[in-house]
Amino acid sequence: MSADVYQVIVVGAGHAGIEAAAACSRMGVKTLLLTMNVDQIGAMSCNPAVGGLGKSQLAREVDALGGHMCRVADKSAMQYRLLNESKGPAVRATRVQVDRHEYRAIMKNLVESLDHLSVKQGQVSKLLIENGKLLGCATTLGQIFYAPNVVITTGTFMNGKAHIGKMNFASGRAGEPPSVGLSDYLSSIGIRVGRLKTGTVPRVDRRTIDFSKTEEQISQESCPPISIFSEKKRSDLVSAHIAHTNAMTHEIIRSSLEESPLYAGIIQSRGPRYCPSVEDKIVRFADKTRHQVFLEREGRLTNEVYAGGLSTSLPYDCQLAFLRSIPGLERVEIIRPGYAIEYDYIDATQLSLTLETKELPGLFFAGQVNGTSGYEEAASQGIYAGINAARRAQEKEPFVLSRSESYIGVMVDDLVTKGTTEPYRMFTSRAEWRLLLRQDNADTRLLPKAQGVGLISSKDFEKFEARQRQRANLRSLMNEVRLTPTPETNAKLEAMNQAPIKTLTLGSEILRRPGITYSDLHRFMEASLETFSPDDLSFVETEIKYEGYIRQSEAQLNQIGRMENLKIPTDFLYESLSGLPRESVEKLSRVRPINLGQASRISGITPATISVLAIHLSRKLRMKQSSAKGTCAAEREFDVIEEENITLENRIGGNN
Amino acid sequence: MIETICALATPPARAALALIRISGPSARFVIEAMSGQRMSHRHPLLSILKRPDGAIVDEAVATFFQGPNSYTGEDLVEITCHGNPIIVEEIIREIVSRETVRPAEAGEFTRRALANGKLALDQVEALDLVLNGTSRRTIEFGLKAKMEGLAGSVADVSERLLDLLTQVESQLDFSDEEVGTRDSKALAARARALSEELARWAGAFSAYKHLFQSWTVCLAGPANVGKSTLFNKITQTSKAIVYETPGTTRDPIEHVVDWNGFPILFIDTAGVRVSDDPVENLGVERAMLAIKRADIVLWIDDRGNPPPPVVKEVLAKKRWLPVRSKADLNIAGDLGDCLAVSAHSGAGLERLHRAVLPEEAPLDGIPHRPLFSERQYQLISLAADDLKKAADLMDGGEYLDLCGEHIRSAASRAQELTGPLPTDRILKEIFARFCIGK
Repeated sequence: MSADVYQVIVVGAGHAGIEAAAACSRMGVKTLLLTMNVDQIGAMSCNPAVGGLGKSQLAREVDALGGHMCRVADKSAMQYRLLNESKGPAVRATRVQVDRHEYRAIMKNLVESLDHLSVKQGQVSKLLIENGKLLGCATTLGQIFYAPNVVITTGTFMNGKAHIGKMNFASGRAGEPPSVGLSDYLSSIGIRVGRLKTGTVPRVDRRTIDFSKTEEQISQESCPPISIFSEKKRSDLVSAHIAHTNAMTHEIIRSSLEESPLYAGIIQSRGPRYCPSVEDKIVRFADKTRHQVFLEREGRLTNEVYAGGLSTSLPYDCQLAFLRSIPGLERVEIIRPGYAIEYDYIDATQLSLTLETKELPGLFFAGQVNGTSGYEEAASQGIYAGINAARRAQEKEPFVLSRSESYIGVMVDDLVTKGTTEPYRMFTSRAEWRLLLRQDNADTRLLPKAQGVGLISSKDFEKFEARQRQRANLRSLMNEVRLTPTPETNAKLEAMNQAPIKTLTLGSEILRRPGITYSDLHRFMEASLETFSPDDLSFVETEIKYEGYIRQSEAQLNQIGRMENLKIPTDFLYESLSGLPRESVEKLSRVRPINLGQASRISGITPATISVLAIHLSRKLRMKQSSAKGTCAAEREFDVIEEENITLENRIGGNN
Repeated sequence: MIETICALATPPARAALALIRISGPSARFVIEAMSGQRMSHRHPLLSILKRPDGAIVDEAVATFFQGPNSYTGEDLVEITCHGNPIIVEEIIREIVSRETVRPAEAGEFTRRALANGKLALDQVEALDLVLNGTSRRTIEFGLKAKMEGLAGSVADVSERLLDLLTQVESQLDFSDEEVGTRDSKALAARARALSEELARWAGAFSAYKHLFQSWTVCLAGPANVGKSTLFNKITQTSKAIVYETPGTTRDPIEHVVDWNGFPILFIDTAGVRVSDDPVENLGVERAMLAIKRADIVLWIDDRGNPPPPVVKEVLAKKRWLPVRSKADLNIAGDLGDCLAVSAHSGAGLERLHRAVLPEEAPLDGIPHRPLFSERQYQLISLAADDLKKAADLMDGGEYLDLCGEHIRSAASRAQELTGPLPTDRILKEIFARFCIGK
């Protein structure tokens, strides 16, 4: 009996489940990881890659919290690319294409070796609840496991249904059965469940592709490893290839649309706008004459090639026909066809900012089951929910990340505040503090905080501290550079198309000029920069170059922070405010924001509603204040906000 | 629970009528209790207002406006009562004696209208012009601005900024896809054009800002040339003390006059001369300050003499006009450029009037609805700067992440004229316009 009692149970061992369970294990919490199939721990259901635009920021945050995703990606890497390199450090992103078989094998091995963590195969069908208290869960085989904290990370498996043409079958991922019963059970205990759709591309046989007709994309030498803990990259990297669709491809697809489950109306649920099927692309963007196709190897020991860009649920024959119309793929053979998948997800507005359900304490949800899409989105929710489940098990304060300190904070706040009706993917434009949330400073932002809750091993923390020291050295090195206005200096500057200097100038001043990078500055330095990693160089360059902007962002943040400091009691009765429109009352009562800032981000909540709330709460605080003398920060904040509102109206004077 | 507020809307003085307003959830209940009648939306009722003990307080007309169809957006009652301050005071005392009602703070009715979305911020500013405007032209402008608002212009500018931002952001978040305009020079040109347009919009404000900030005309000159007499004549007041002793005027005296619909602030100053009297010298110092801040200076001299060099130096940088006073006493007609006027006969005043008026500001050459407050002017000027910075970065083809920040900042400033920009919009636009897929 005692063997079956845990502090946390994690249901599902995909990218979210692994990070959740591993975080609990690092924090010394006795944890059980339950999965339907232990062979599929860490499986990559879609593209064989980690990182990418907006996603590498999330992956690096998982890394900074001591997670495994980036380290394992470096160990199983096939190809590296640094995206948006010239577009600015805030949007720069690393993408590693990985060997999905190696990734899964390394991940499984790792998970099995973690302390305090047991792994078991089993399909959870219900929770054990007594008197409104969560006690554990039960499997379809009748096994019972006890724990006061359960993290559900079932991905696309709940009531999953795959579609290829007009054929469809119950499935969690091609070739695997879905999880049946759990979502019905969740609905039965009052959790709101919805349905989403996503899809994947056909995998084709590498031996049947004529790569000479495609464009080669080699692994980028200058791109550093994605994990800050990886010393170096593998040496056996490979290239990807780019092909293009054409008018013929589009014609084949267009003429088969009635065979598509999407267009025939068989699939009703919403799919991701940013990752549409090729059918969607051709219908919605009829004027585009071609689309890119990324051909990426799925692994070193397989001939399967991922046909990126061609997500489809058309019938097999059709898939083959349109593939063969693409130059380079004339004789291609499909190994696995693409398919669409429909699955149940939960409405994340039922969750608090720690991803715990508001109605049933101890029950957490993370990953694709919350309506997101992407491994990085899943992993980062997983680690976050895992940390919070462990904190709860330890009876400690929740671990909350804000929008201004992390992409995780942005995503969680978006999900629990607004919910989502289509698969949610991270974009840099979702982060209002983008300049502060770069992939190059994820460790500076989060690692000390993670260390504080026991997520970082002492070995890793030493590495981090060494890195911080390196960065500080580099910074002072760059600050020490002084350029004297000699003809020689100015000749060098002019050779770089830069204006000459007239007075003694600091190196950091020169670095702030547009078009100047640390390597340009290096020409004026005696010290060698070779001992510094490209990551550190770009970090310090960014900190110097963007200093003014960063400071400005921080100042704005302070201003906005006032709204975040205005707490709303969780039991606040919105109905009692007669000035609020009925819809606002409904939305606010459903989401139950914890502060005014969160309230302001609920979709459909107008600035007018926010001012009514602000005015009301400030009065309440003032009343409190007069009864219990002394001011707290929040009260002063209210006063400032109200003052701003009032100044102008006061000019009207009188009692208009 | 939102409190109900009550206040007198007309000046607290004896008059035929006075208007009392009550706004908030118990407004209706309060008036129904006092009058013993049921109120319905927008139906004025002749009501006998009574105290709880049955004593009559007044016979008045009460009109009920059911929220949100009222000025404040809440339930609102307007009581038109007899304008005896004793009656008014008693009615208000009766109303605020109810548990849920309290006296309103200054501007609170309007603040509630703003909070309930009945008025946008720019409309509140326009209301300021209507209530406090000192000339017909200003009030007319204010009324129009309040009715039309800047919302249309804000929507137009925001739409175009959003389009620009969409193009830039799509290059950042979807650089792997072949979407949007790849030509950053073309984008830079668009940003620059929009920046210039915003700068013109803001810039125009200074040309007509005398509609909102009085156009200042300073009467200056040597001692005892009749400046104060002329000032009193022009302002039709007797604000300035007129006496034959030189150096009578010490502190500058101001008065606003509506001339041709413009608010014009006239300042009478101490005569400029060297005196033994330290108080008079202080007056001269103040006169010099008034000259410096005036939009136009009338240099008045009964002999038509030019100003002394110290004054001339200051005038060199300003619009000024030499005026010969007491034209009725001396030779009639102008002396050179000097405009001859007489405060007694009124001769030359008509011409002086035309000469001091600000130039008619053309409101039709402005790219958008004219701005009408310093706040609005600042916002749009800053937005223009933001866009210029964005354009410069785009021309360089690098640091597009910063470029996005600048456009975002410009958009949020433009929106601040009326309300905030939802971030979701950008992604929605990107998805609506471009083909994106992995």
